[in-house]
Formats: sequence, C-alpha cells, structure tokens
Amino acid sequence: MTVPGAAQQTDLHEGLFERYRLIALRRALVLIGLAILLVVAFLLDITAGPAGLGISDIFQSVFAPGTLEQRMEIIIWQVRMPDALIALAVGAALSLAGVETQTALNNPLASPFTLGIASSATLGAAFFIVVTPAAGTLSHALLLPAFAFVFAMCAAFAILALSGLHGGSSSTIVLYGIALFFLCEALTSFLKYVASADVIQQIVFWHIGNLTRAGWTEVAVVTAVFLMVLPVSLRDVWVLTALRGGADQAESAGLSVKNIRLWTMFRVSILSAVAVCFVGTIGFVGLVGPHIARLLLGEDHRFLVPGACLTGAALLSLASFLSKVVVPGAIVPVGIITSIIGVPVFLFLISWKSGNTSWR
Amino acid sequence: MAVMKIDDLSVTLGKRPILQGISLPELTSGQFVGLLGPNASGKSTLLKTIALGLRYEGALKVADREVSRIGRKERSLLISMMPQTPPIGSTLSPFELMRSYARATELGMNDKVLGYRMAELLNRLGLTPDAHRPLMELSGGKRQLVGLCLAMIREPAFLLLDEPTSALDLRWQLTALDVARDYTRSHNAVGIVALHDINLALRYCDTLAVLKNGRTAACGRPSDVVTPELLSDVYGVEARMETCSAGHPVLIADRPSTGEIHQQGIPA
Repeated sequence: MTVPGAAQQTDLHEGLFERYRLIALRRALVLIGLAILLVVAFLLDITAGPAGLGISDIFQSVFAPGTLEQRMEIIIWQVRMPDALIALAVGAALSLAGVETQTALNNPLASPFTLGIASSATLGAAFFIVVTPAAGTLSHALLLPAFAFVFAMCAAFAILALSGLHGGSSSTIVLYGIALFFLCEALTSFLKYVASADVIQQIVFWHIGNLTRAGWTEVAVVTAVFLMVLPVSLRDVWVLTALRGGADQAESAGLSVKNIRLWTMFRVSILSAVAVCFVGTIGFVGLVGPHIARLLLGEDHRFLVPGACLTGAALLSLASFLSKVVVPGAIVPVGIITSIIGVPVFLFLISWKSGNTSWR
Repeated sequence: MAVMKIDDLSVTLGKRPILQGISLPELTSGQFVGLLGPNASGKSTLLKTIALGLRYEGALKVADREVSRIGRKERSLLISMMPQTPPIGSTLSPFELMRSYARATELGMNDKVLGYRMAELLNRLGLTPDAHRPLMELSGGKRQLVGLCLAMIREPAFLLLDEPTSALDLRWQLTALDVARDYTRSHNAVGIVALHDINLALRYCDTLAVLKNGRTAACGRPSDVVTPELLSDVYGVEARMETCSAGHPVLIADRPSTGEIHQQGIPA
C-alpha cells in the first residue's frame, strides 16, 4: 500500500468535509422548515374554533394587550393559548420520548405506549375517578393527573427494575412493556365493569385523550419537564447516534449499552408520564413523529432529536386544529384525530419504506 | 509499550466453561497474531474477555495491568475490538457513524485531527466514494469494512478483530489484513485476528494460536504450528502443506478425516 502524500491527504479530508457541510446545511434548512410549519400549525390551532378569531386578533392581543374586546381577551388567554401551548408541549415531549425509545431499544415500534406507560396512566386515572367520583372540584383537578403520573412512574420503575435484573436486553424491555399494557387494560376494564354509567363516561373521556382541560399550570409543568429533559437528551446525541450502529458494535467501542438503555428509559418514563397524565392517551404522536423526523433528517441525532420534537409538536398542533374544524361547532377529542390520521400516515410510511433494512 | 500476557485464563458463561486455562507466550508491540480454531472453540470469547471485561479467572495483563482492574473508559481507549456482526444497515453514513463513535467515546481530539484520521482510514479501505451513503445501501462486505474503521478510529494499543474478512471478496480480504497489520507495525500495537481462512493466517500473521474446546492446542510460528497432524486433530480434516511457486506455505484441505468422529462444541 502506498501512503498518500500530504497534499493528497488534505484533498481527501477537504472533500470529505465539504460534502458533509452540504448535507448538514440541508438538514439545518429542514429544521427551519419544520419550525415554520410549527408556527403555522400553532396559529391555525389558536384561531380555529367557534369564536371567529382572526390571526390579527391574536397579534393585537399579544402585542397591544387590553385593546381587544374583553370577551375576546378571555377566550384567547384562558382557552385558546393554554390549549394550543399544551398541544406543542405534549407533542414535543411524546415525540422526544418516542425517538429516544426507538433508538435505545433498536426497535422501530417502541414508544411510550409500547412500554405500557400510557396505559398505566389511564389505569391510575380510572382508579382515581372510581374512588372519588366528585368531579369538578379543585382538588379533583389536581389529584387526577397526580394519580395518573404516579401509576405511570410505578409502571416505568417496574419495567426498569425487571430489565435491570435480566440484563436489559431490548426485546425483554419491549416484552415487559407489552405485558404491562395488557395488564393495565384488563384492570381498567374491570374498573369500568364495576363503575356506574356516569363514572364510566368520565373514564372514557379521559382515556380518549383531550387537550381542552389544560390550563396554564399544566402548560407550565409539561413545558418545564420537557425543557429539563431536552438538554440531557441533546448531551447524549453522539451516544444515541453510535447506538444505531448496533449493540455489539457499541459495546465493542466501550459503551455500556445496558446503562445507556436504563438511563434513557428513565428519562423517557418521566417525560411520557408527565405528558399523558394531563391530557390522557394521545396515540401515535410518539410513534409517527420520530419516524417522520427520521425520514426527513436521517439518523444523526444532533439533527434528529430536535427534529423529532418539532415534528411531534407540529403534528399534535395540526391535529388539535383539525379536531376543532372537522365537525362544525363541536370539538372532537384530539386523541381520536391523532389516531385516525396517524394510522394511514403510519401505513404509508411502512409501505414506502418496505425493503428498508435499517432496523436489522 | 504494548505487551499482553495471558496465563491460565478461564472463562465461564452461565454455567458453561468456555475457556479452560488458556496460556499464550507474551505478545509484544508490532506483533500480528492469528487466532485459529473451529467453530465454538472459544476464539470470540477470548477476544471479548480481553476487550469487553468479561469475568475471568487466571491472569490477563495488558501493558502490565490486570484487565479486570482497568475501568471501562480507559479500557476502551487502550483496547478496541471489531465484533463479528457488522454495523446495522441504518440510514447513517460511514462518516456519521465513525464521527459519532469518536465523540460518544470521548476521544478528545479536535474535528480536524479526527477528520484526517477518518479520511485516511476510509481511503485505505476503499470507502471514500461511500463515505456519505447510507449504510443500508452498502453491501455486507462494505459494512464489514466500516466495522474495521470503527475499531481503528480510536487508534488502540491492542487491536482485536473477530473474523474481519468473513464477508469480503479476495481483494478486500487482502486489503483489510494489510491495513490491520500495517497499523500494528507502524503504531507498535498488538493485533489479534480471529480467522477461519488458514491460508490468510499463514500469509499475514507472525504468530498463530490455535484453540480447541477452550484450550490452547498450539501456539508459535505459523509454519511450525500448521501441520497435517494439528489440522487432523483440531479441525478433523485430512490436509497437506505444500509450498507454492513463490515459496510460501499453502494449505490444501482434502476431505474430512475418517475414523474418529471430530468432536465439535464444548464437552461438559
């Protein structure tokens, strides 16, 4: 073998990075595009609804407070803003949780739902509703998400503890999650079976997933948790990218795949438990958001992690917009919309990517 | 100074003894050692024990330190292994994967130095045109070469390769072993390569170690180690050693040995 001369080596090096700079630039542009889409979705979401608000009203209310009719101000600040913001926060949180779960477990179907975290939250909520049916009180509004959160975290810790015992292989974690999912669904069904019709309705309403019960407190909590987890995820982007080379490879490079998995699952659990405990089960955002981001941005997690947050937030925001306009004069729970849109989108992605070996 | 000492090394996985008292002569800087043996003879386990910190009994020292006492991070900077399975065919490119490996293991060098290293490795292994293509589009052989890049990007003092040529065509088999051997020579490293192709091992290695059922069957200079008797004993084949027109020893395997049935796997 000839050793390349210094000049030739510089050429090689320059060529390698020049090509990469173009790729990175394109991805940065995609991220900007997603951010613009997010803003558009947010504005659509905030103006949609029976009050007939325009975008100009929103801007007027934000930049010149007090000049708008008081009724409008109340609608914007007490109803529309928290709903629209929680859509962004929950969408981003679930999608971030989804992208990390998929990568950490090397499983394209992994998401907070596959791990049974969402169904445990539902069980917690159902349990609380059955035990204290006095809806509408302040303590009720605070305690319901608290119960959902505690149940979700218990589920997450159970899975983490079990996987820790058994070496934390990715398929065992997913299997524990699926087992937990069925257990929680069965227990929830049992609670519905013994409950009165009125209570069942409350459980069903919670289960469907709904953004309209959110107030500023909920927005603040979900946003705060998301903003606390995001920097940790961003710090780990290189490790996550390296994991996509396969567990054997990563282990051989001196990374502890087991520790990375457990640590990732830990922060994903907190993120998804907080996200679902206020809004109920919102399907598919945590699954489809990351997959769209992967298609658009590739698997370098420096771009993928922020990208998945943006796609998730934009998706849920658009779903929230649609939930207010598909049936005139009524608001369809957003959980129904995300699933109805999510399924065909998901099927399209699967068939479009058939022959894709990227998870094997 | 890279020195490796392996003395009476035993490893048990679950309840199965995989390695049972392996001893090798001291391996020193610049040495390129071939690890031979039939399937399930313990080659991979030996490499993993050195690189991944599996629990063992006996002595296993690199650079005069017991491997079990070296922390994970320090170990990964000192020893690097290329596993049998190539990187997953994801949509990542070889460039992205190599860079993420360097950064995830905190190699601590700036982008420019890392860039030169990557460019040189990719070039020598013929991957420059594929540097930015998704791995899922690359053949199994190319992905195996990417695996070699990942193991070498850290420039370890001990480079362990587990069947690095299994998916490669002739040209790249030779190239991959050339690159690995040149590296051990130029960087005063110790290279250990598990191989199934005995002729490649004869051609490239300074020392050969042969394992059978988790024990050392032979170890020494290639021409001394590879004999018809050993091949009959370890691999269960009738084989001849010939000298080719260029004067190199060449192995020709004729047929499975008759008579005794060759014992595969590990006895209880």
